[in-house]
Amino acid sequence: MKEKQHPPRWAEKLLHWYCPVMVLEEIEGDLLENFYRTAETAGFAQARRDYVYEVLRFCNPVTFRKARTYSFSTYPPLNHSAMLRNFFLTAFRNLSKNKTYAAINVLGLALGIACCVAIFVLVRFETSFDDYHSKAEQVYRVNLNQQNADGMQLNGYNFYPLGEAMRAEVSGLEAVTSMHHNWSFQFKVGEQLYEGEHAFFVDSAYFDVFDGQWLAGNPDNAFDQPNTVVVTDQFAEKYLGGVDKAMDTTFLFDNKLTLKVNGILEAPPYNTDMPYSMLISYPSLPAYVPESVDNWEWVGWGATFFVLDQGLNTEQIDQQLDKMIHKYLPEETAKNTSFHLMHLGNNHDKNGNYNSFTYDFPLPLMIILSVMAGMIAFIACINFINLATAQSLTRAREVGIRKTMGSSRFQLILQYMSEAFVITCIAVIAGLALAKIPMRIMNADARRDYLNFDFFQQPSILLFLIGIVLLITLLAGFYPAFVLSGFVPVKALKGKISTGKPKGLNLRRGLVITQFFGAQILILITVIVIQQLNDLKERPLGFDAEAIIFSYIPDTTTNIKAFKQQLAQNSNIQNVTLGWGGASLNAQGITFYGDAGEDFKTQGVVHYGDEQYVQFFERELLAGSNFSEDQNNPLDEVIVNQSLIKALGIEKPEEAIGNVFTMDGKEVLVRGVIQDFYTQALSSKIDPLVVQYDPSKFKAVAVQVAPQHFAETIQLMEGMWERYFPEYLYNYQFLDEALDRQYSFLNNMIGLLEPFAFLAIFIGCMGLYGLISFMAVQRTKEVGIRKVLGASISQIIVMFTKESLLLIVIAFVIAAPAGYYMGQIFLMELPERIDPTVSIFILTLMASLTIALLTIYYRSFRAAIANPADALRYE
Amino acid sequence: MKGNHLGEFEELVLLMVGVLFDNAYGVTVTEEIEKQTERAVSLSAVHTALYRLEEKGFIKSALGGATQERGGRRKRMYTITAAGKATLNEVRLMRNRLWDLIPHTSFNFGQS
Repeated sequence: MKEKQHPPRWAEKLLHWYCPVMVLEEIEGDLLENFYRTAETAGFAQARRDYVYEVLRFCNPVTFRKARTYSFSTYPPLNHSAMLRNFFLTAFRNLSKNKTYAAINVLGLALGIACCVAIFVLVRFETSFDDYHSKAEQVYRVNLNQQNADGMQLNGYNFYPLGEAMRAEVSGLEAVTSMHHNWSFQFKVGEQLYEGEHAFFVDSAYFDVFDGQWLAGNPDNAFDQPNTVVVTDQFAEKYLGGVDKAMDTTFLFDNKLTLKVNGILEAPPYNTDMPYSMLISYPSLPAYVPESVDNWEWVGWGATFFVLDQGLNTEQIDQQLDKMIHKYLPEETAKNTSFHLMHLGNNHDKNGNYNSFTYDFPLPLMIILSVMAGMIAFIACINFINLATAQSLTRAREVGIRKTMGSSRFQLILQYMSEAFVITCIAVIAGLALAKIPMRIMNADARRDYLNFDFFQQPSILLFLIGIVLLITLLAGFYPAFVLSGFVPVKALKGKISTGKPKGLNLRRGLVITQFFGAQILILITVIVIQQLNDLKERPLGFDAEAIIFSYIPDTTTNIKAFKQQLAQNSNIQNVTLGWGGASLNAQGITFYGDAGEDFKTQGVVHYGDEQYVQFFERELLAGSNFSEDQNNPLDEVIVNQSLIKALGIEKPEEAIGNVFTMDGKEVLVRGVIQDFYTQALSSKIDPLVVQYDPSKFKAVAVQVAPQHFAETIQLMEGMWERYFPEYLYNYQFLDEALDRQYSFLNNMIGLLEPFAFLAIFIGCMGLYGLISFMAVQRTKEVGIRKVLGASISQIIVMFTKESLLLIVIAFVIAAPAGYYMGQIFLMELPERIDPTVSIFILTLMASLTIALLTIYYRSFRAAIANPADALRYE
Repeated sequence: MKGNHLGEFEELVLLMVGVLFDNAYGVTVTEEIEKQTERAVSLSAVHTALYRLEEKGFIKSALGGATQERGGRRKRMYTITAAGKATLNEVRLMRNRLWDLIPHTSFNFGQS
């Protein structure tokens, strides 16, 4: 029997496995020496047995303890830093050698990272709303739920006396504050009129609930007296001559209140739902909103916040509030009403349909945005993987040599990962610069400078960047590193890694399909949303909105008639009407009506208009008569639409004339019936409509002017305005623009989708270009031979392009149903969804094919026209 | 650590490191012990003892030359330190003292 002349392999492996590397060398050396010594005296069999025994015995705590005590300083170090330096050097050299490759990777990744950074900053900002208050965790807002025939009405505003009542009767609350919100107002300092935004009437408990930085004044009694106000330093600086002079000055607020400044606050940060420019004392409110006093039936713009005692939960408060509903509200409304407590942290991004004071940024939208940004980054990573694997052939020799020189697979992986790392780092720097662009745009959109991109103040952004570098490095570098490091050195050096079917070809195809799948979904959704918007916009209004200018008129009714008559006399002005809610002046008075004596039957819309209303908005009067100028009891006689008489159970318009029904508890008489028209922008439902002649409710004047006379008409109106309403600022809007704003939800969505879709297809095409480039280089010889044998240029171009186009078509086949489905989800909120037409899909496919073709055509054309002699010569 | 305490085996290994002078490493120490005392010791036991002695500061080590018979791997060469010598000396002196304290008669076994 021939004895094996070496130690058992498994024992060696075992030793390698457990033994710390610091002591492995000396132990293994000694073991081996011992093995041969034993073999000489006692034979190999004994030596092998001894070896195993010793290996097992070496596995003891002292060995491990010893290994730890040998640091690099006592153990001659492996020169890691030199190796790493070499990796980075190779990475840079490789990048500068393949400039297209580097540019495509860096640019693609930079775009992806820019998206991610911008969206991250946005999400960080939008989720940070009001979390800076020291009691933010305990603060809740009392929302109002009211059940009616149309379903549950959700409201963030609440009854005015609620706060006071809660303070007195609800236990377990640290503080309760009531406030009234005034979004826009005008004010007069000296003789100068200005417009302002976000004034709040607050009581003295406000600063028990929320934080604020006082610059002057006494927080304890600043809100005790009527007609006092605390302004922000910004406001004082801008209008009152500076922070030092502002104290004790007075100004006129909305022509109703004369306010004396008795305190100055630092302006609130941007991430708050209460971006007050001034805080007016709550005792001033009755003079400004008389209805607010002790009114448990009307909800205006008053809200209630409270601080919950620590350790309590909201259920205990709920029960007490339920009792209050029955105590204060009329019996009928009480049973349809409930309160809902919403945590302050949810106010901005998770408030459901409870309106906040400013704007909402729903969490799902943030998730959609994040997913899209991630998708863009992922598509860019795919480029990296694709290009790196495509490039593997050129680099096979390098791998071969490195392996021959003793590089381990792990080191090679490390090398390619460091290459990915270098590219990612460059891309992050470029991405940060690029991210400024979308953030600028977003800032401009919101008309406020809310995205302060100061990442030294925001450690989370730094962390995010580090995270993104690591993630992208792993994602982009992992696969190429494994493929490239896996080459067998002999084959790699011989160039045996065949050019015919390079490794990873199917993977690359799969990745390209993934890229275009993502890009095409985005395009599809965008096109579907655009079509939806156009569809909505093209709904017949029944009149020419482009020719209409409207102005909000002051609350005083005194001069309005005269003002209107003056306007009507001008020859440029074809028609004038006074009203409110008329044909979407963007406000609908919602009220209840039913049969005589029966409330809450159904719900409809009230428009207020004068005798010109029907003519002005070109409504066809089907039966009855229009309002007359000298109407006796204008409130009692109304004009209604077809839907309303249908709701009343009347078939023919003629029969409806003279009918009486109840509206808001009052009986009204049908005087005329007009045709149906859309009453709400984002709804296909045609609400029952009542037009009422109520001059006290008129809030706007609308004039019909030929567009060429716009400028002079506006000038004329401004002059007249100053004469009739010297106390008020002149304002005007074009009706078509105002109508457009009703679709801002869809417009915003398109604004977000378009750049994403563009980026996705752009990055995808960059990757495609890179791939074709590598294909062209690899197949130079093939192209040469084909040309020599008589292939035409177009045949060669087809050879290069047909596969890519096939991939895009495959991607489209997967993307089409997915995009259709997601488009439906996107438009779920809309009652009248379009059914995407076939043309949308054909358009998308054609667009992506054309873009891809244009991208690859140039490169394949160059490959095709190359002189075959050049390609074949160097063989 | 355990101070200056020196186990019997450790003392033996420490002595061998001194004996071998500039050629003391795991295998030679094992060999020497086997040669001098004719008892079989395992390599790992010697190693463990060497590691312990180094921890106690009685010997110090450095990585030395590689030879073909150990597959080109380097050896960890040990030399005795001043502290090691002092401890050995102390042990010896203590032994001598104890030897001197043994009453003469107790060596006359069997002869009462």
